[in-house]
Amino acid sequence: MTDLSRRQFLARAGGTVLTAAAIAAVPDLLTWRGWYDEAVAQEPDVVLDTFNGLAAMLWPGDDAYSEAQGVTTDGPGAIATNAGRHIREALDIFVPAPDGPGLANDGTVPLSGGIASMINVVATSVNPVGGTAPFPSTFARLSFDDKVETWRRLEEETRALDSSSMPEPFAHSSGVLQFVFGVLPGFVQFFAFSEIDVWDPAQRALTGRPVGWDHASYLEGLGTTTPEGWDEFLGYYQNRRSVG
Amino acid sequence: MARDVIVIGAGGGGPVIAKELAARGLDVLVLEAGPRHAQPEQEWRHLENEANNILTGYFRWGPADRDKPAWLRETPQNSMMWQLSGVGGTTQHYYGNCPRALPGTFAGYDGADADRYDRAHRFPFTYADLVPYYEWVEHTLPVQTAAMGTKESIFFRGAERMGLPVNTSKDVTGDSFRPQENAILQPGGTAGRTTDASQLEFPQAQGCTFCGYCFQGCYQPRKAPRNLKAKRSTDNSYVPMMLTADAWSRGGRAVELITDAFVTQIRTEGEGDATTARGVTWRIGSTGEEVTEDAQVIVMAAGCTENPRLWFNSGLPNPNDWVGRGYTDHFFDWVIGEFEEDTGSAKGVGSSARADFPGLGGLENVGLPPALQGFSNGFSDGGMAGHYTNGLEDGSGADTHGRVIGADFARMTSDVNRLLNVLVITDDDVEPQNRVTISESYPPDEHGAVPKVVFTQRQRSARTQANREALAAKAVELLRAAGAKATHRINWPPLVLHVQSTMRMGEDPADSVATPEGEARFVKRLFFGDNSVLANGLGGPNPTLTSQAVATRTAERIFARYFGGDPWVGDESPVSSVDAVVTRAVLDRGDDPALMDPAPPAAPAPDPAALPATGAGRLPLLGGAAALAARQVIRLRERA
Ligand SMILES: Cc1cc2nc3c(=O)[nH]c(=O)nc-3n(C[C@H](O)[C@H](O)[C@H](O)COP(=O)(O)OP(=O)(O)OC[C@H]3O[C@@H](n4cnc5c(N)ncnc54)[C@H](O)[C@@H]3O)c2cc1C
Ligand code: SF4
Repeated sequence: MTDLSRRQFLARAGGTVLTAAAIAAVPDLLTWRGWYDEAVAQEPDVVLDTFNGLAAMLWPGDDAYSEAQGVTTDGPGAIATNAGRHIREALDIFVPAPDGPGLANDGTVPLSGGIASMINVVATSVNPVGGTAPFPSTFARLSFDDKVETWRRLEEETRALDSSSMPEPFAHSSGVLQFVFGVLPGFVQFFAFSEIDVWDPAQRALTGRPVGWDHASYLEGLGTTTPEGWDEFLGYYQNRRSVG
Repeated sequence: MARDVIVIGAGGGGPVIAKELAARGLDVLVLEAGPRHAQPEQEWRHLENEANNILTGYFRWGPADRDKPAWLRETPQNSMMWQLSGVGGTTQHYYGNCPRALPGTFAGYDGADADRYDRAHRFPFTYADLVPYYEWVEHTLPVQTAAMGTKESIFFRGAERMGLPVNTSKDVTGDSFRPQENAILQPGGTAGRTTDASQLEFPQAQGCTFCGYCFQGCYQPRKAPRNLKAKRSTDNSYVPMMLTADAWSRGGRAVELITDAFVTQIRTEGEGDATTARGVTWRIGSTGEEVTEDAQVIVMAAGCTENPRLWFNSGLPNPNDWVGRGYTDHFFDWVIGEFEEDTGSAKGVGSSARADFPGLGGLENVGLPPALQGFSNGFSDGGMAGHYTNGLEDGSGADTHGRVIGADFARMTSDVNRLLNVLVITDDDVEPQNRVTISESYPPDEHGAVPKVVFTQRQRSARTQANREALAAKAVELLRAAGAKATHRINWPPLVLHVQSTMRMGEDPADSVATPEGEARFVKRLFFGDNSVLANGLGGPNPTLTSQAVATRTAERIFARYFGGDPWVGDESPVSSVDAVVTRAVLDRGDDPALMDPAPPAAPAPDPAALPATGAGRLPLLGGAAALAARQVIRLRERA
């Protein structure tokens, strides 16, 4: 894929994210629907696999995804926290399905397929062959350096893309993609260190200690209990309790 | 009969105006789009995803029913908005830091450094004019000098070694560092002195217990009445006061609060210069029903993003095209230091130390639990450290630039209590292209067209960019001086949580939306009561105190102009939100029934005649406010 065709692809794909929200509301946009269906029709395991590939890149551990990229660490990494799954679920509830004024609906428009598809297309442009690991996602098969290069292209090229003269919904695609690829790494690193993977919503309680807490040496010795306070008060700087 | 005043939004600012006008006896209705967490000890957790997930957490920009999706905003750039719905608004998250603004951002300032500020967009009155209002709010919240934990002691060590002087006043006059002045009750009793939960219930523990979870909402100490919780977010301070105004102010009248009430229209009469606000329409989230009410005065306090949205969706006039423009956010940045010693990063108030650099902005230490620590590293506009920079240069001198990833990230995060973060708070310019408009890409939701928030971070003014670079370098210098073994500059994209100036008041009618009185220039009887009316980014200080001081001033102007009353600040003393009379009212009303242990005391209703006229003659409550309040509660409970 040339630089130019990759940018065109990204512009079109960015429109997908927007169309995802707009489609049901605006019949005129149905012409874009072919592309949208194609993007969301990604196999679910490819989608999960893609975000697993991202999770392993950001925080590698002793798992198969980290081995496939050639960068591992001793002990569990983000894969052990199911961060990829939590990212997929977050993307699928990010955009509420359209309502009219005064009319609410509680549905959401899934974005994970479209976004995974973009990541994999750009991954193919970095390395068409990829590695040999038996993962359905091209991105997840790449070496660590090729994954980083994929992300560089996703971030830098969406920034370089000038979509402002394109028709709606593509006109704003550059900005929306900067948002998506900009914030995803932060979300992965948030989920991986949070309790999301061991939270029982029905009981509103933890079912175990989060993997990230152990890694971060957080609340050591406290199990699943969070403190009400700490013996941490050191007084007042220069003993000054108030200022004039 | 129309209501006297309707306030839209119960966040950092709305409850201030509501409480002040209710104390004067006006009939005030507060409408809040989100939920009221009336029983935080039951509803909240010290868990990061449960609280802070922007899509599903109990703190999010979304409806009370967490099975429903969050509300959408278009952000067409790498950025994130951190603004909350619910009573208390975004102060539910906040760290309570209450520095005053830089004098150089006000009219009439002629100090030697006057040219170092955004002179084109100053406050339309002098700093000295605002000081009595600062004092009033500082007494009400109350604001005190922050207690110190390990992470503060390390920050101070770095600042001392940089050769910075200590500032021992509330006003900033030169480069200096200090403990924060914050709206956190100083620790008393066992608070801060034990980790044993059984010892940490009120009244044995008073004030801040150093739990480390300000971001998740403060319900400490357990069993304290709502108005005596450590952190003075408005849900713990101004809201209890506004709901009990009849009890602590002679002639006062309790505010009516309706939650799950999303205002979708401001209705007006007349045209052009005679356009006058008449009423509002809101939608009840749980039923979808629409309700309309009229009022003599309407106060918009829906925040910097929703005020412009509501303005546009209501079709209100915008003749100078400044509605929604001039958004300032302190263009934050973030530097992480790695230490070989315990930093206590995940313990205590989020940030209790700061350094101020007039003309540039400031630095704060920030301690975080691990998931937010992870997010703060991964949220970057500067690429991946050691791999690519996303087109940005780094002049800070940090060891790395951009997100730390891979094995380096695993190593860096292996002990969250050996990290110390420094937040860079830039004195940023008011620029028209940073703004709120209406999204053309996303379809409207049940409240109308959704807002689009644009920050062109790479085209910000040369002064803004230079200030940020200079501060990032100072953050690195401070961390190194404090003993950091490695420093990582993340180069954040806009993290929009210090929000200011989208409906700014100003000296020049050509580039401001509000008059110096806080009233809309183009619609009579419509005022602004939150951060959106601030004239600028204050030179870097955290905005809420100033916004609350301005809201207090605006309440006086509303009372004088439309209700024939006299001003009170300067003539009277305020009642503190931790005063026994407020506590007694909170307990009497069964405001938070689940918090009362033992059973609610049946204390007699206060004799109105015995109450001071809106606090006149009351002694100031200085340090030890929490201890004093605790003694008062014990007495009340004993009497019961
Ligand atoms: C993590 C964090 C830490 C912070 N720390 C500090 C700090 O230490 N010091 C400081 O000064 N500031 C701090 N801030 C910023 C502070 O929270 C804000 O300055 C403050 O909350 C702004 O007050 P506001 O009234 O303008 O808006 P908000 O507090 O956001 O309140 C707006 C309210 O209006 C409601 N609303 C919106 N639209 C409608 C509508 N149409 N109808 C009805 N209701 C509506 C919202 O639900 C919300 O409750 C922090 C913020 C965050 C996120
Ligand atoms: S650290 Fe202090 S102020 Fe913050 S939530 Fe805990 S008790 Fe409240």
